[in-house]
Amino acid sequence: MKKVNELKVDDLSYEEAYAQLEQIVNELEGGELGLDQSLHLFKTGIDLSRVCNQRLNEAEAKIEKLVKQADGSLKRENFVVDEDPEEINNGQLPF
Amino acid sequence: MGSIDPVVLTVTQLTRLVKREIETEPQLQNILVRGEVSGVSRPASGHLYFTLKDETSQIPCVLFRRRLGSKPTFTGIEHGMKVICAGSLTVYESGGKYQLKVDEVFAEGLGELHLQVEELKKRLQAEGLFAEEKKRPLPSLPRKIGVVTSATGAVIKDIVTVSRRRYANIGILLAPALVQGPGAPASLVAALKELYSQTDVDVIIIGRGGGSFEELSAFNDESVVRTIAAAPVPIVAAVGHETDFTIADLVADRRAPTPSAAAEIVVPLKRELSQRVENLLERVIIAVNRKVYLQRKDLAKLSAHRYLTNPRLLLEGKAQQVDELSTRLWRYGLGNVKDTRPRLENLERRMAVIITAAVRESRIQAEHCTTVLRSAIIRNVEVKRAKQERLIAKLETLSPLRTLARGYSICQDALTKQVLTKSEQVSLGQAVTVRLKQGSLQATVTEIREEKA
Repeated sequence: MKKVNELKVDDLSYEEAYAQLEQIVNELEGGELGLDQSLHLFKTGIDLSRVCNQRLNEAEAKIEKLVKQADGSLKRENFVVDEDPEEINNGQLPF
Repeated sequence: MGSIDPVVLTVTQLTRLVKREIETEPQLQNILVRGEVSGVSRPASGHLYFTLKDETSQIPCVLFRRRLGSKPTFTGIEHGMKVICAGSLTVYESGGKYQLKVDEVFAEGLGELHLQVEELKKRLQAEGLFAEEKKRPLPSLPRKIGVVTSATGAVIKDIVTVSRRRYANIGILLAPALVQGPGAPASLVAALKELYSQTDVDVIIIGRGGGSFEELSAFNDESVVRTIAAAPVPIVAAVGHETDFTIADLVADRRAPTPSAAAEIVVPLKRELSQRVENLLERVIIAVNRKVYLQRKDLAKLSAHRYLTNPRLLLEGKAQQVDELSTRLWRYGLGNVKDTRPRLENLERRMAVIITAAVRESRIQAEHCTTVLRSAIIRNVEVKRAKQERLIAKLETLSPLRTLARGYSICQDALTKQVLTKSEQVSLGQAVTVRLKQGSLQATVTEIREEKA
């Protein structure tokens, strides 16, 4: 299993951060750790949950389409679908 | 040697034998049979029975209700139709008949195309392209969702609507393609490859609405199917509806009955993901709080130790030692000075003074020791307590709800839910949501004051 501190927390993907957070919860709930170690894991746990939430919110709410340029390269353009605005408003809070 | 009894089979035994022979014979399973339909019967059971015949022979056919589904080709089966049936030979035990269990019926005119598709399907299957172990799991949180379909029509609209309902800020990248007609296969292949070149696309939906066999034929095209099989990221196929399977559906990592269902498979529910993180965080806090509580209990036990609550106990032991020592000194001293009393009386007095002073000194030292020891223990306790208070304070400040509880609020764009940190993020008249500790407000921007950072 990957050690919690091998990677910088801020570089983790959602999946990685979530998996490590799960691991920390298991270690803490195991109850075998000393106070200092527990508090260190606690701090890391807080950081990991922050990263998870960051990943959940950082996706840009963009609907785009790929357009082929004259030189063969690809460009992204905004793509508009006629959509009921209610649908967009039903989204979640960003935290 | 005894005579061998003639083997006598029961009717059931014989029928089972025939059944096993027929139903395990590869030449009689998954076959295509050409013939003319006659004697169509549709009893209340919902199954469909007919006979397939040619100039010299005939065979009873059954199409079970489960297979019938909503396939338009099946409902149109009539007497006199020339068809090709796909199916397997089975034995109907209680009737003592063999019959063709039909999976698909193709009108004779389309027969050639169907045969080509069936042949391709078999070839790709033999290559292992549909193998279960080739199917990849979908990412739990895709950065961007690629979509290959027509830029117009309901498919992209359905996918966008469902995706946004599940995850408001999900990113979607459409690679428009022709989904039917002679140019469709090349267009689908090009669109797929375009998405493969985009490094932030983690999963792709390829889809179109339902249609006739010919309309879906691009999704049975070998180049399209092979391009899907070579995808660097998982692909979800949503071609047609329910019963219209194409080879694209078979080769994809997942198949969805409709484009909306594909979006539901691919896009996670954001509030579920947030909730899961929140739950883990809560468990972390509870576990650490428990740890701190236990530590605090240990500390309380230490503080209650008898040397701390009654420091005289320490002194008593020492004082006793001093007393004993001084008694012995007196006895020794007096015994020796008896005979030379006159000369030593002076010395005796001086010794008494010295001994008394020594005893007093010992007493003071002992008391000093007690004080030092006591303050050291108290200091140790204080240090531990202070450390704990700091950690508990840290626990509390890190709790996300604290910020709101202190009277701060969070202001968001009412539409995108983006958290506002700069006045330039909003325009006059725009609706914003203000989140408080309890409840939220809908507000409109009436004035903007710029301030340089």
